[in-house]
Amino acid sequence: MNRFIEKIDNFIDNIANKLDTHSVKIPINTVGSILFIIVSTVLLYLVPTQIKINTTSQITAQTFPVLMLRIILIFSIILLLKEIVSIIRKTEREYKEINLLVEVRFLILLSLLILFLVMLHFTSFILSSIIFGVLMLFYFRAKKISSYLIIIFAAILIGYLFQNVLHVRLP
Amino acid sequence: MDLFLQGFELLFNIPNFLYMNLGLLLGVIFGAIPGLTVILCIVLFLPFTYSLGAVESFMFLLGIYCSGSYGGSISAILIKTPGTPHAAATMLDGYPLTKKGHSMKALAVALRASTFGGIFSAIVLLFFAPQVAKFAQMMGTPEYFLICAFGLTIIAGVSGNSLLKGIITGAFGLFLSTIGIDAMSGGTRFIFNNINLYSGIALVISLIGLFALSEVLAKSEKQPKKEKVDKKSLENHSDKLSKEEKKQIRRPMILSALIGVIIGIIPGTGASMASFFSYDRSRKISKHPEEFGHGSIEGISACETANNAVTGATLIPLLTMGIPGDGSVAIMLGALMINGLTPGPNLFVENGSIMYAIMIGLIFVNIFMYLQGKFLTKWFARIISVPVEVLTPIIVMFCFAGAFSVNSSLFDISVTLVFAVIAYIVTKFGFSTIPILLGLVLGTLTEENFRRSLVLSDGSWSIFVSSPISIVFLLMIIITVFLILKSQIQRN
Repeated sequence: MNRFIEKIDNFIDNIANKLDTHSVKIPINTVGSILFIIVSTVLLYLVPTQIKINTTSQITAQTFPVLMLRIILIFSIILLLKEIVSIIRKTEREYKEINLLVEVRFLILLSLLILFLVMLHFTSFILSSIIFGVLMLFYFRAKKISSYLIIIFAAILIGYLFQNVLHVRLP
Repeated sequence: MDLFLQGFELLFNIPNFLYMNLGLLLGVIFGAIPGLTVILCIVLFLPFTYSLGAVESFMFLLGIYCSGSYGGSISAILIKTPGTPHAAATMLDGYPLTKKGHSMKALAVALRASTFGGIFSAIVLLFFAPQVAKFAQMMGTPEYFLICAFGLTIIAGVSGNSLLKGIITGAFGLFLSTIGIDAMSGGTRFIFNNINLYSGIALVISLIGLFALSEVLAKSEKQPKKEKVDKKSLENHSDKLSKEEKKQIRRPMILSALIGVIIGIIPGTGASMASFFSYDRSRKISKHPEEFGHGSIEGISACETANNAVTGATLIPLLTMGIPGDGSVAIMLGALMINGLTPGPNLFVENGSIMYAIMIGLIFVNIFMYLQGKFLTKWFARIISVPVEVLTPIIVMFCFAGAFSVNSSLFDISVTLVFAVIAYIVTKFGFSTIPILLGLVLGTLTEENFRRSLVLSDGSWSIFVSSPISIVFLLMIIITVFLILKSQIQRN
C-alpha cells in the first residue's frame, strides 16, 4: 500500500515539476485595464435592456449604474494610456509571472468547489461536506489518518450547528 | 448622561459578555494562524449574528476585531510569520527576543501593550464620537453623498498601489450594489430574468466569496514553509517582565497610543501604518535605539499599542458618519445594517443607547482580551501549528453553509463562487478587493443620497457645492487625491 502511494506521489511530483517550468510574464496593468474596458463596455451596451425606464425625468434608475460604468471605462482607458506611454518611453512596467502549475492548482481547487456545490443538489450537506473534505485532503496529499477524522467530525459538527443551533435547513 | 446609563444597562447582560468572549477567542485563533485573517473570521461568523441583537452582534464582532490584532503578534513573535499584516512591525523585535529564549516575555509585552492601546482608543471613542455625531447631524443629502465619496476615495487610494485601480474596483463595487430591484423606482436592474437576483446580492454572500473562498483559491499559490514553535521556551514561567522593564515600555506605549488613535480616525489609513510609524517614532525617543531590531521590548510595545489603538479610533467615522476605516470595519458596517441600524449621522439620535452600549463594551472587550491572553496565550501559541490542509476544507464548509443560510438557496453559493473567482482574477492583476467591498457596503447609501440630491436640484450638479460643509468635503476629496497621487509618484 505504502509503495503504491509512493508511486502516485512520485507521478504527481513529476507532472508538477514539468508544469512548474512553464511560466509567462504578463503586463498586469495592460491586461487588467483591457479586461475592465471590455466588462464596462458590454455592461453599458446592456443597460437599456437590463434597466427599463418609462419616465422623462433626468434622474432615473439608470443614472447611477451608468455613471459607475462610465467611471470604470474612463479610468481603465487612462490606465491603458499610461501603459502605452510607458511602452513608448520605454520606462518600467508592472509584470506578474503566471505559473502554469499555480493555475492548474487553481483550476483543481475551483473544480472541487464546483463539485461540492453540485453534490449539494443531490445529497445532504453533511455527506457532501465529508466527500469534499476527503477530496481536499487528497489534494493537499495529507497522509495522517487524524486529519481525515477531524474533517469528518468537523463536517458533522458544522451541519449540526447550522441545523440545530442556527435553525438553518441545510440541503 | 441618560444615554450613557441606558447604554450601561443594555450592555450588562450575560449573553453580551458570552458573545464578546467567544469573539475574542475566535479572533486570537484566526489572527494567530498565518494564512487566516481577521476579515476571514468576521465574514465566516457573520451569519451567526443574524439571530443576535445589535449589541450582542457588535460585541462578538468587536471581540474578533480587537483580539485578531493581538493574535497576529503571537505568530510574528514565535515563528517569524505575522498572522496579520500589521504584526509585521512586531516581528522585527518579537522574533529576535524569541531567539534569545524570551518568547513569554515578548508575548507578555505584546498583550500588555495591545490592551493599553485598545482601552485608550475605546475611551477616546467614548468621548469623541458623540461630539463628531453632533457635527454630522448638520449634514443633508448632498453632504452625505460627498462623505461616501470621500470614504471611497481614501480606500481606493490606499488599498493597493494605484489610485486609478482603486477607483476602478470601487466603482465596480458600487455598480454591483445596484443589481436587483431599485428601491426608488421599483424597476429591476441587471437581473437577467433571474428571480434569485430580484433582491440583489446580499452583502454576506459577496463577502464570503471576496474574502473567504478567494483565500481558499489563493492556496494554489506556492505556500512558504512554516517554522516550528519552540515549545520549551513557552514553559519558561520565570520569563516575566521586571518592574524596570514595565517602566521602560511606558513612554513608547503612551506615544504610540496617541499615534494609533490619530491615524485610526483617518479612514483608510489602517493599523499597519500606525505600527510602523509608532515603531519609528519610539526608536527616535528611546534611550536604547540600538536595541531596536534586536529584541527591544520598547519596539514590541510601540507596534502593539499602536495597532490596537487603531481599533476604537476607526469606529469614530463609522459610528458617526458611516465611513468605515478599513475592510474589517466595513463588514461591521454591514452587520449594523443587518440589524436594521442605518449608519450615518442619525445613528446617535435614533439608537443612542445602543451606540453607548457598543462604545462602553469596547472597553470591556479589551479587558477580557487581557484576561484571555494572560491565561490562554500558551494554548493559543500551540494553535499556530494547525496544518492548513485541515483548516481549508473546514473554512469551505463554513462558507457554503453560511452562504446558504442567507436565503436558503443554493443559487447564493454559486454567486459566492463567482465572487471568489472575480477576487482571484482582479488580485492577479494587482487590483485590491477592499474598494469592491466598500462599494458594495456603501452602494445603496451613496446612490440614494446622490439621486435625492439631484432630484432636489432638478438635475443640477451645483447642489454639491451649495453649502460650506459640501465645499469642505469636496476640498478634502481633492486634497486626498492630490496627496495619494503625490505619494505614488514619489514611490515610483
